[in-house]
Amino acid sequence: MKQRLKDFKRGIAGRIVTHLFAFGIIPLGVVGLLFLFIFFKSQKQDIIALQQEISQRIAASVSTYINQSVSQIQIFAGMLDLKDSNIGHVRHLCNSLLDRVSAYESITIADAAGNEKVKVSRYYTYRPFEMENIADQKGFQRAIWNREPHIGEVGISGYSRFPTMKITAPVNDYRERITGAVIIEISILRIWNLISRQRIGGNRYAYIVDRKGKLIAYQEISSVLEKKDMSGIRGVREFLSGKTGVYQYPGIKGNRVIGAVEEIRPIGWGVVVELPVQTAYRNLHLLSGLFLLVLIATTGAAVFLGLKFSYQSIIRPIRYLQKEAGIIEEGELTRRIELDREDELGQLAQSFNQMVFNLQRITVFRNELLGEIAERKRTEAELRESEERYRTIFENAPMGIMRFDGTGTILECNEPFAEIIGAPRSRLISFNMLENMPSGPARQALFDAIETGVGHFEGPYISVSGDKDIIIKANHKCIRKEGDRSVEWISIFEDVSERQRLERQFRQAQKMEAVGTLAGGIAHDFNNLLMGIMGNASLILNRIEPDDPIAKKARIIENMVERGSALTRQLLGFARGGKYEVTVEDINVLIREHNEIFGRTRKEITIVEDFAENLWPAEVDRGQFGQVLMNLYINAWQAMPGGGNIFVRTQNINLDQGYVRAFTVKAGRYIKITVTDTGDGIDTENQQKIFEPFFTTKGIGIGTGLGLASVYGIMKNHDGFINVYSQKGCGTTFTLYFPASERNIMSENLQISGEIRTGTGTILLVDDEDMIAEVGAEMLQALGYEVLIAFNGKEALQLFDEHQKKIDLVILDMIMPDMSGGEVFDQLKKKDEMVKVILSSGYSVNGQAQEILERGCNGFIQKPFTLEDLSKKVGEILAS
Amino acid sequence: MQIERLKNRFQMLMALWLVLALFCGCPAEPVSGPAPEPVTVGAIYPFTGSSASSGEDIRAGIELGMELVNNIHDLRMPLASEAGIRNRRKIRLIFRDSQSDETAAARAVEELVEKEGVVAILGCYNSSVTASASEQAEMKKVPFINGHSTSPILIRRGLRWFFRTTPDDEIFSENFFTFFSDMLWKEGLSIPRQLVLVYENRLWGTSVSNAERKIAMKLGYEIIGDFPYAAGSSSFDDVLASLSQLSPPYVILQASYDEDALSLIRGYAKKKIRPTAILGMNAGFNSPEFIPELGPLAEGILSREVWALDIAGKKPLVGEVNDLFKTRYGRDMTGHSARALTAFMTLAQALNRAAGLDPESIRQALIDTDISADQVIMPWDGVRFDPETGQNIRGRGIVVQVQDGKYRTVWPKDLKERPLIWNREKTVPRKP
Repeated sequence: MKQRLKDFKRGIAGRIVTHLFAFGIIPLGVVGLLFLFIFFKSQKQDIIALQQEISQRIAASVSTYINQSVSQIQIFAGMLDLKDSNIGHVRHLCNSLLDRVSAYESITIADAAGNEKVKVSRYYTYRPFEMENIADQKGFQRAIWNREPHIGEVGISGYSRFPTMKITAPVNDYRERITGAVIIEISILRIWNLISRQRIGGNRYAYIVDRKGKLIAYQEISSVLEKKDMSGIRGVREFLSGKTGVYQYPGIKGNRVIGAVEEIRPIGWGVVVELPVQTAYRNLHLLSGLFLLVLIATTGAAVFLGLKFSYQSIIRPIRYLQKEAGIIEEGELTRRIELDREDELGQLAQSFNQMVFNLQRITVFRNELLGEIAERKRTEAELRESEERYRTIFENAPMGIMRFDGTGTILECNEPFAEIIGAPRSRLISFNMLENMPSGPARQALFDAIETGVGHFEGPYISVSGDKDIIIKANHKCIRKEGDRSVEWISIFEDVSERQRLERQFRQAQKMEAVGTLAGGIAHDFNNLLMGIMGNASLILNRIEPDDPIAKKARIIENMVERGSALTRQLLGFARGGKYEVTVEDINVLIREHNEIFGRTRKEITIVEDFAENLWPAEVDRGQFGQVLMNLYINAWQAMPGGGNIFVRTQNINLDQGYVRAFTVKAGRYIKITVTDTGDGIDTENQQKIFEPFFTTKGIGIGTGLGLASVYGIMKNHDGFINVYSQKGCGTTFTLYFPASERNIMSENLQISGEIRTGTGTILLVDDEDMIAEVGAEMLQALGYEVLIAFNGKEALQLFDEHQKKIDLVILDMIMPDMSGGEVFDQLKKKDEMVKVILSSGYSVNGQAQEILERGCNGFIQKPFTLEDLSKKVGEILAS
Repeated sequence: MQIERLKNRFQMLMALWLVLALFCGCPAEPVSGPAPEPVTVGAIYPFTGSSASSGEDIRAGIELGMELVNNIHDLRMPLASEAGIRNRRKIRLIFRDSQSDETAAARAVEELVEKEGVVAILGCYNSSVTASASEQAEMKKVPFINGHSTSPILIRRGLRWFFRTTPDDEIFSENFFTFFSDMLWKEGLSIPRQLVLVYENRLWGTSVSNAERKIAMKLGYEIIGDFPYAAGSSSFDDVLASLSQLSPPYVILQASYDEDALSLIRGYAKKKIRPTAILGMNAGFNSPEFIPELGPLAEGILSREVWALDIAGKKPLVGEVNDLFKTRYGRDMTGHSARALTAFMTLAQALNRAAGLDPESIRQALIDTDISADQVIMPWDGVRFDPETGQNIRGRGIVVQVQDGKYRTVWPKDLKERPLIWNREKTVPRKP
């Protein structure tokens, strides 16, 4: 609805109506209203004037009537002869007067002394004895004294109960002496009847109030009979306050009136003439109503006709045009507007049709054009997308990419290419490779590509700047031909140096792994053998006197076994089997200890320390760490026959994945130890072999070939690794990397005494090797212990069940067929939570011994062991 | 096409509406269901005091009228053949005693209007009492219907709510002198030129005497005695003494109420006062006690009357109504009861016609009253009120004479039942 109204207001019809209102109806209305206003005002004035006139007329009538009555009474009085003899005649005159004047209620004749002589009434017949003396009556007194008629107050008739007034006139004789008085009671009702005959207009009503505001005459006699107090009505109130005039107020009938108030002169009464406002202004209201009606009708007609005209002649055709235009706008270009008119709108429709025809033609062209544009845009977008894809690949590829033309000139290259070539990218664009490259396989590959479309090259390459010696792999391929001729090639360059290095390291690691496994196996068996020899030798020495010549031999055996054992220890170190007792250590402290020992023995060598402060702790086997350091020092000492400096440096370092990948260790925090000598150095060829076991450049009998191999193995065991860097004649640098520990350093220095400690108790010895078991049992017995022997796991468990209460300690071989030492340990633990177990082995798979120790095993003893070693270990565990 | 169809539809609807209207409009006869509330009307008359017997007679007349209206009677009189007025409404009457006292009557009006809610009032008997009562009714704006008070002044007060069915004293006084003229010139009787006025000195008596005096003077009669007296006086000695001083022939024109009339007639006999004729102005001369009490003393006395049973010979309705009255009360109707019945019937007919039972509607119905001569039991030309004064303009009086212990109509000629016995004429010299 609101929208429609808005549309209407905006539309032509709305404007027509607005103009009609603005320039026609509103001015007309204003003029009309002005006219009405002026007319209204003058009419009101007329009404007020008329009211006033009527009230004045009535007042004058009443005055006249009363004056006439007074005159009449005076004349009547003049006729009277009040001699006693004449009383009958006087009564007759009175009766006649009463009969003739209907307004008179009664007539009384009194003598000068106030004695009533005659008294006639319309309602009552007075008898002689009913006559009174009226000398004390005010009216009588005034009339006598003043010698003139007196008009009394309004009273109520004793008989009719209607308001009456008494007029008293003196009676004179021919000598002008007062002989009496005539008192006539006049009914005001009669006065009213008289004046009400005056024409005051059908809707007006008049009434008379006395000097106190009491109603004394009115058309409604009932109100008069009520002696209604009219002082509540404004007109009367104004009169009582001495004012006359015209007022508007709620009148006697309660409705609003225009009331005119006038005083009736001689008697001081008030006459009020009221005209209901509604009646007074009826014609005016009628006129204004008519005017408004005409105005509304005119307005309505004007609006209607305006709308009708505008609708039929303008709006409807325009709407038709609008509707048709809307249809055409939606694409119906074949549509034609049919408006058969000669006027402007008809011409407009024709123009419109012509326009649509033209538009139709243009649209066909436009559509074709649009199709082409769209196709082109799509292609362009695809192209752009393709270009973007190519560009992304080109720029983000991890390998160098380059395009060149038939002359070998670089058209474009990416950043990795520039990095491989070792020149900034900007310099490489337009760089002619054929002109600037030395002849060789790389140049040949370019030629091949230009000639055949494809070319390959893999080999060492020295960068443009000359500071990089790398191995690259290049593939050239023709990617564009014009006719039969190739015009553009693409080359993919890859720096394969690092990959080849990693491959080399990996191969080395695999080789070392295989050798290690082999060495470990040998060392194990060898240790078992040595154990047998060592055990027996120890037993012999224990049985004979120290100064016995056999004892000397036995000690030689023992000494030889010691050397054999050292050998196997080297082997085991290499074979990653020897990390047994790991403690958290401060590497700086350990190095310093060994430096002191080494410095004391090799005076010609100066060790220069460069230790990092706050070096992270590392978990190491103290013995093996010492073995590593000593091997390196000995190596350095041998490389510097005339003496020299060994630089030892420690530092904390974080190694990333890329760096550690080839060493098969985890990335993270490491303690880096570099040991550099100033010796001859190692050539590149030998550098690759120095960690292999039994490889040595020293003369036969000088080196075992196991030193660096065991260093390599021990580093592996500690989850670390070793690097060597050397140049012939420029010294050698070994770099050791130990993983840093999260744990705190434990400072425990076990005081090891060299005595054999005997003890008591029962020990269950478990070993699958008969010889070892027997020797071991004998050694334990020699130490004072009772021994139970088991040759495999099952037997051990069985024995343990049988003698659980008796057994104080179990010495358990780690490597056994069927049931391994670990499994037996777990079973024992189940049977007795508190059982004490020492693990013994000539070989240890990395981590296995450690795992068992972590599961609660009390200690470890490395085979071969001496009686002294055994007594110490057993005593230590039993005492704990 | 569409317009045609609409027209047809409209016609059909109109036809249907007419049929319905006919069904609904036809009153079912007889209408069943409970009778509606009766209409209450007040009646103020003297049931105690000097005019009590007249009051009772009036009551009887009104009660008979109520009987005729409220029940079905085979009478050719409006409302008599139906039960109740329109809509089967019955009329209930509440009587109040005026005690012949202005104040008591005015108080009775107030009470009837305020407490009883009467829609109209009938009353009163004495003119002065009627004046005060009607003024009270005027204040209360209740129609006041008077059937008995004849003072001319009553209709000259400009009251809007006052209606009078009976003719007034001026008419009656004129009737007296017309009667004299008729007797003198048409019957050849000797009529004395001397008149004596005896009257009660209040409104009625005063106005009657004023009227008589006025006409007498106009026609050349001489008033040789003028004796006002206070109504209900215990002694009339002074009046009788003065009368006995007068020398006949003369005619006494008397306006007296019941007891006063009896006392004075007896007094005349006692003091041997022998006027040529005594012409009573109704009232006491027509009270039911008048003939029985006076017996032979009443014989020959003339009275102005508004009604007499003997007019039944000329108006059959009068006899029929009188029969009903007699059945009911064991006596004949009098002028009082007949006028009372007529006043009541006039009011009943107005109530029957009135647009509503509010005072204004009843007043309008009274103004519109138009009752013909054959519908009233009075010797009148009917009832029709002067809208200005409320006076019935169709009324007139008759003159009756007590002959053989009964009132006999002797004037006017058209209603005359018996010839006049002018028994005191001998003393009066006949004038040519």
